[in-house]
Amino acid sequence: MTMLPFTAEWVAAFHEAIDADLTYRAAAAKWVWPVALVLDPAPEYGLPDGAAAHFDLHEGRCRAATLVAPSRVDAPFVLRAPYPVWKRVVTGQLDPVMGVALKQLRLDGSLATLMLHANAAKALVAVARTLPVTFHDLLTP
Amino acid sequence: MPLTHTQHESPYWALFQKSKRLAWDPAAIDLSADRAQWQRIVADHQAERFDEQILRLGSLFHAGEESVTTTLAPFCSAVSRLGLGLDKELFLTSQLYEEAKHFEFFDRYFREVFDRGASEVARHVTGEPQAVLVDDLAEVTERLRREDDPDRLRAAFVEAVTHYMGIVEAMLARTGYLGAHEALATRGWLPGLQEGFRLIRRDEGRHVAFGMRCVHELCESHPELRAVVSSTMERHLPNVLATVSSFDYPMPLVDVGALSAFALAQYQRFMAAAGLGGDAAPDLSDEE
Repeated sequence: MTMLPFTAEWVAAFHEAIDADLTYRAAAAKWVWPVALVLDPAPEYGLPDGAAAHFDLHEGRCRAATLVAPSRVDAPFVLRAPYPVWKRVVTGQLDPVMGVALKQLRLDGSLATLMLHANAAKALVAVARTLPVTFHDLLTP
Repeated sequence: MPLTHTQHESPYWALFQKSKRLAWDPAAIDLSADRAQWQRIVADHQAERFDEQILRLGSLFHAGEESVTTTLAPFCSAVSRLGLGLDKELFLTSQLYEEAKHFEFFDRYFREVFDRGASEVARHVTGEPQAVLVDDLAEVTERLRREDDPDRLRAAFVEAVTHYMGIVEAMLARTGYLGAHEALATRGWLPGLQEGFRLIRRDEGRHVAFGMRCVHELCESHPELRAVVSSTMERHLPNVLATVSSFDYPMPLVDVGALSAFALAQYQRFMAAAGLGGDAAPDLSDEE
């Protein structure tokens, strides 16, 4: 059964998938910072305030993952983007580091550190792609 | 003072010897085919704006090579004042000669093939590329020139090497030359420009290797200097990425994704040289 991104169900599934993925674990062995992914307000999809997911990533594991209010996001690395951009990231069409370079994703946090761990970011996206996801714009009204 | 045995055996001396063996003359590259082809590229590819993209690439290289030529002298002085070794000073003399030749090549190409002058270069080199290739490099090398305190001079040297060799030469120049060469080679365009790119890139490999080795050695002996490397990269990475991604035209001549990946690899390699990468031993060679 498919899930919508930035929902509690998706966050829980993502958490489980990250923790089980050995490729991610190896690629992110030195990543020790929580990361928040923030969706800009998307009233057209019933998300007038947007949405945010907080992942407590540490040395290749995901210790916790929660849906949080965007206004309460607090993490050393925060990636923000509108819905179409997140859709491209989650489906593997846009590399997140490339997305930051093209200013399609906005980064709060050290770009130098993110680029050092670009493989971890790639591996995280690869995990996201394993989840059975549909998108708000594909739902029949 | 004669070179010590250690200096004679050093990788810097080896890089200096290699620069002599691989010397080339920008005036000797045949540009006759390029002149005819350029006119056809301008006429036949208006919709793709390939002429604009090539002129833009050429302008960034032109301005960048001028910048690295005029800002290298303070490095020679700093190496001497820090007592880092005559072998390093001698290598830097070869680098200065090579940077001047790189600038000569683009100066010649703009005159003899593009038939464009300084205003064309100025049109394209603005904003982020202007900052990272010219203005900020001039600022840090001026500080390097003026600094007298040994500890601050060492930190300024590491900052300047990170900017010059790590950012400008490794992340931007080598990336740009590789991408541009591949874009032209797949189309069979501008063989003289391709040859210039190939030879310049080969020289740049030695320059980047010099920078990585210096940073590696200084960060090993003074670990606090790793923070200088990190903060320098942090400060300039947005302008680097903006410069690379600015070639994402609707019909791009170069593969921006591949260029970004190569620039990223150069960045990770330089950081590893400073002891800021993974566990693998850093690759300090002049090869890509």
